[in-house]
Amino acid sequence: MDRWEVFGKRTLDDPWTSVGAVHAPDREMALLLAKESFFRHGEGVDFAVVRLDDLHVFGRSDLLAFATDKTYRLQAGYTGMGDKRRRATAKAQAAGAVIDRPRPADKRVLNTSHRRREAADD
Amino acid sequence: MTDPRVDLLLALGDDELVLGHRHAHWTGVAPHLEEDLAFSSIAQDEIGHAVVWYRLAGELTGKDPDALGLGRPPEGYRNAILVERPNRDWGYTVARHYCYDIAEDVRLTTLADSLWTPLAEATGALRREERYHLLHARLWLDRLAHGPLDARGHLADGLVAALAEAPGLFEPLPGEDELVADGVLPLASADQHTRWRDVVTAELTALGLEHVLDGSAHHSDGEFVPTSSGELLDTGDGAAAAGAVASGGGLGGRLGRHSEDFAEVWEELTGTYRAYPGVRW
Repeated sequence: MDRWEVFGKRTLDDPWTSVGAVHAPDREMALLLAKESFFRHGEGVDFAVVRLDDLHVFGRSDLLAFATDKTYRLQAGYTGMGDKRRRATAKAQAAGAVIDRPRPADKRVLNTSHRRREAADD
Repeated sequence: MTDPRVDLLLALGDDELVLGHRHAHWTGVAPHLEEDLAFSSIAQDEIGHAVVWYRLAGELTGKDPDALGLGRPPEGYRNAILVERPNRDWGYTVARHYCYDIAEDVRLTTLADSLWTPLAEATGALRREERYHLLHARLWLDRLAHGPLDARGHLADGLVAALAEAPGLFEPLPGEDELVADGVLPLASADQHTRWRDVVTAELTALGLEHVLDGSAHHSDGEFVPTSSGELLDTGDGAAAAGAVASGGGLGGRLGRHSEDFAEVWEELTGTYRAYPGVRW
């Protein structure tokens, strides 16, 4: 018997979210059975089924693995930025460099919250 | 009880309670896991419908739904004999599920026009759930009817057995004339039976199963019927139908006269209630 992936929506505006799978011989049976398998406690407002064979699977985990260091693409690659900036500032001052104009204003946030964000970096 | 509305509500409630209980015997052993969930859920729905009818009866009798549903002697139950029969196999289960849910649809459509407002209003929520039950029954009927051979054979046997006792679902109620005259029951049981028979005849004929309406699990003219599995069903000289056809049209239930199969249902259903009077969940 075919396996059918089941996708649900909590509200009509939500994207389809995978909720599980059912085994059924055809589309109508899959829809009939998915209702009681996954939506009998009021889990959503609609659902859909897709035959597993109809999912176009990439199937190349080798192409998804990092061949070189990609930590710069990860949030974890950006820790300790406050320290790094302070060290750079101190180094620049020691070398006699002076910042003689104000930093450009952050258009998205107020200055106060900007400062608070810097403090959080530390 | 002199109010004929109570007899009507008990007939409605007892059908749902007893069939829900029989359906629930598939829990854990249905054809596959997904169907196990679906059919168990339908069983719960039917028992939930029974509670709706018992609550309404309780407003007339002053009894709580548990006392009405579980606290009567066997001869006090008004369900049709069809719903108390054991499940036999999946073919019979689907056949009875189909016969019953078409009947429930006819019944609820009728009662939606009742002049007794609380009754008419109660049908609303039940009919919403009933749409899924009908979808479920019709889809399974269609799939088994289209084979493979073994499935179609089990279904045909099941239909012959279920159809033989289905008239019991439309057995006239005590005091029915009064209910019809008062507009509580907008359509007499016999007229509902006609509506039901029209639907069932049309749908079974469309599936090439009209011979079951005459009590035969096989075509008498020896036609070959193709099934979805590619097998050809020689309908002329197959083995005799395994299902024993009950005589009497399954009548008696509305008067409290039941088959020997009811004893098992009654013992299971009411055992806890009788052993621990007044116990609450």
